[in-house]
Amino acid sequence: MKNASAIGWSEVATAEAALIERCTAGDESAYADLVSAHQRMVYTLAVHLLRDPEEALDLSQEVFLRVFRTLPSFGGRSALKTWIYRIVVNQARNRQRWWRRRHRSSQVSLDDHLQRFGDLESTGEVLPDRLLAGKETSRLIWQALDRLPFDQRTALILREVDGLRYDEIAYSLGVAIGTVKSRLTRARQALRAELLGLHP
Amino acid sequence: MTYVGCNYARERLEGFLDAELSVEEQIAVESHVRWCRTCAARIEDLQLIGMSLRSGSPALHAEGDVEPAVSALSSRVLLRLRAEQEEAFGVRFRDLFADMHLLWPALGATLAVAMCAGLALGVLRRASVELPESLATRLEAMANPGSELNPLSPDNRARVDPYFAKYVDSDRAGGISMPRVLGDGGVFESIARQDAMFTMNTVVNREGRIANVALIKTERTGTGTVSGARANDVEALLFDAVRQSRFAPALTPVGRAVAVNMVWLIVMTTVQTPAPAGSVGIAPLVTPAKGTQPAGAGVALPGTRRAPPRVLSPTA
Repeated sequence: MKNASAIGWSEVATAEAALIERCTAGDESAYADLVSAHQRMVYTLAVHLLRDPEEALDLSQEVFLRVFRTLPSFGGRSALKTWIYRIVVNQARNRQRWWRRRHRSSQVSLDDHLQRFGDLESTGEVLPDRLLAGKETSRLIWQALDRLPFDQRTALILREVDGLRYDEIAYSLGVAIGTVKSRLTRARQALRAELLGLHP
Repeated sequence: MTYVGCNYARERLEGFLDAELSVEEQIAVESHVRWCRTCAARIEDLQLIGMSLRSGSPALHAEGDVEPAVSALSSRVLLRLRAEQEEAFGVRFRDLFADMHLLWPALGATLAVAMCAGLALGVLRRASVELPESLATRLEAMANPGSELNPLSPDNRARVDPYFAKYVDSDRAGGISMPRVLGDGGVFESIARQDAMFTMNTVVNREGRIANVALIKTERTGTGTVSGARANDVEALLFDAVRQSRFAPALTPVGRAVAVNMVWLIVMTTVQTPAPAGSVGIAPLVTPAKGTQPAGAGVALPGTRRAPPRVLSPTA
């Protein structure tokens, strides 16, 4: 039996292609394999984007149904994982729009906050030394993240949590790499501004 | 090793942190961060944000509660897929119409589109009909001598200057044969017997049919009183009779059928003879070339005496 760590990238791609071929042929065991291989990733991203476990479960189910419906048109233009990321992002964006139409609240945009307090990069200000990574900081960061625009939030999550490269994020969001860079910069600036405002 | 300043490094701090710089840039920024406390602090800030995002993931907090549901995701998806595949076509078709709130707007929009299309077609159709007095119609008529709109006169040759005759098309150079009357004029038999004379201008078109009928003059003579209504009836009958007449069309020397003007002189007379019956003579008079006799002019009605044909001088 071959050791899992010894499997090369070409073999991964071959195994992925074989799995896709079985799925498009209607093999139910292949469906189950594909879902099992990606369900944790899909669910986690859905929770990060929607912040609701139940809704994330529902979205995950919809994502896999969409994956199987559109798998024949996949075409292999990206890795299967990146393609699935893209579907998750699109489905989550649609839900966000629906949710925002019905729950227009007085949420304060971090962009507005940034405009009020200025660009920290230009001021040269840095966070205090006493601000350490902890549960409280994480909670504040995630709260601040929720107030970011969907595209900035998604770009930062895909980069920091899922560890995607810029080109993979660009494909998942359907934008250019330059747009990804600018969104990441704006999101990080907004979060720094938020932390600085909370811990002066 | 290249030493870079803060401005250069700040623009690349995020790329450095995300390992998205080229090797040279990565080395340059790394060396800068080693001695620049400000840029190093910025890197730490960015690292802190990333660490906080990873460690405080809401998915980690919800893991215990939803883990069974996540594990069951595969079976739930498979169940949905099977249900979709087994779903009958009829059910899918009904599902298409499950949400009917757009039905009436869609029907209204369809109706509006159909009405607009019909209106547009109607306008186009009306616009394509040329008015008889329009310049385009007149130009077309002038460019097409011998048509119903531009009928020829049998005396065309008389109008062409001999000097220009060689430049004139043979169709207009004269020599057009007269239309020949077909039938025996029996259609006139039912017309009233009052003494009268009608002069009518018509065109015999290329098919030998009568067109552009216009009454030029009416003269009523003789005895007997005819009411106005009766006189109108007679004229209407005459119009119908003239329109129903058929001719062999006039031909050019090259054998092409052309439309020509024709003047009708219809005379209804009562001839006092020993015989008790009156007689009616009806003569369609063609505008012939000088010296020619219209073939068939003077139509005999069965049971009447033939009236001698009368020929008018050619008209323009």
